[in-house]
Amino acid sequence: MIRYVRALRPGDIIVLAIVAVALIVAGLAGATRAEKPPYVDTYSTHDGDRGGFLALRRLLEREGVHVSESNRHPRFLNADRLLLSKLSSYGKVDVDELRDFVAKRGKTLVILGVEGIAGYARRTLRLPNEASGPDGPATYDARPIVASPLIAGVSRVVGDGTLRFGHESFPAAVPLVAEAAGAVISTYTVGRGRIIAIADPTIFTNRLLGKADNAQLAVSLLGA
Amino acid sequence: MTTFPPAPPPIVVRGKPQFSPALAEFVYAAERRKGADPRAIAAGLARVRAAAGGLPFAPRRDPAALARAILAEPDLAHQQRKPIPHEKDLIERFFDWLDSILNKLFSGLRKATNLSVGASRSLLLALLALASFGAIAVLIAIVKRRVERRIGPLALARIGEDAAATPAQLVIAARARAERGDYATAIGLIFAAAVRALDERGIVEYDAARTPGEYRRAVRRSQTPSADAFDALTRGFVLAMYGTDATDALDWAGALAAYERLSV
Repeated sequence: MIRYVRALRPGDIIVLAIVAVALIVAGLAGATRAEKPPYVDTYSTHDGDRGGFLALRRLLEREGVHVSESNRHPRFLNADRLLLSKLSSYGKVDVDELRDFVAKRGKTLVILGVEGIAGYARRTLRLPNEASGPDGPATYDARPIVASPLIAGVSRVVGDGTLRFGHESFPAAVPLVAEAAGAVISTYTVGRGRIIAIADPTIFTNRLLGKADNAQLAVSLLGA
Repeated sequence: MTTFPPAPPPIVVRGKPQFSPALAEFVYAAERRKGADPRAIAAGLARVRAAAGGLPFAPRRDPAALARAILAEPDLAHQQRKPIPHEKDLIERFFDWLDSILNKLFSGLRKATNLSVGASRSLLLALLALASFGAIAVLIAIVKRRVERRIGPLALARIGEDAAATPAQLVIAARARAERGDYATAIGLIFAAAVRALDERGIVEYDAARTPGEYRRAVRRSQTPSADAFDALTRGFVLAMYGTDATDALDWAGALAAYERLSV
């Protein structure tokens, strides 16, 4: 093998180097494309991309709502209202604390998105049953169902998520905003407090917050 | 008396007429359920009343305008633009072209053989794999041959410079090179064999630093009868190694004959 390597001439080495560089460039180009992450809805208040909630957070702050993040357990929260977009990641103990936060302390819990929430959390927090929208991820229009300060000034809401609360969720939960496939936002009382369940959180994403009356809805619903 | 807000006006989504539901639809759905409890429904309506009251309808600024202003901020604005259609680079275009060619081959093979899609795909992939292996084998053979052509003289030079190599070994190597058409190297080796043979017979001591002319003069001075044959061999060696004309089989035959006369 060494004999073969020694027998290589400068021209051969240059050709081999060019081939190696071409392969490396092609590999890097492929890796760069592969590294580009697919677009996802994060529902994070730090995400300025199309599926984040950064604009929602700024909107609430500039409307005078004191917004803070907390990693404390709900038992120790010193807030009137808790917004959760990752309820699916909560364990049983956390869910029990959330129930006490609402039922015993009379606070308001806003659940942003109900996809993937486990049965225990559903039962404990009495979440309404889901129904898939007929148009899948296509954009839809929803309207207020009842007159309520929670949706004051809202006449039209735009979203593109797939989940709704079925019609049969009434009378346990009051539909606030709905479209033909079911309710997008429902509210109900648990003990002394209230839960506002939002089946489709895409209405508050950066890409849709400026559409229709979504911003008005955010202020009325979350900032009251 | 309980009053409900009127149903919202109909809306049209994606060309199909759809209607936003009124609260009445939810009440109706609740009433239709098996074992519907009127008291629960009444309680639900009470909840509707609760949801509709209790909190003041405070006048607010226009949040939509504020949201638009927020979304126009630099760190958010660039994210909200519609994604630019991806322009294919050269590598992607090449693979697209390759894909189209393969598709044409697949369809052609399917038509020709009347095979199913899976079978024609498997067959073509097998053929392509065979062709690829063949091409790689040919490439390896070409490279090996090229490199060996360069390695050959080096190896022979090493044999020639090897003090332990016997004249018989050098002659065998020379014949092998001559059979492969490398007459110049063969003559070089036969000259090296002659020099070793002279050393073995005690006529001229082997010295790798000597030039062919110095060897020739040393042999001539020794007054050996082989001097003429060695002269002829040296002349052939110098022409083969340093001459501009190509060395041929005749030159090789002359050198071999001179070596054989030297050995007698």
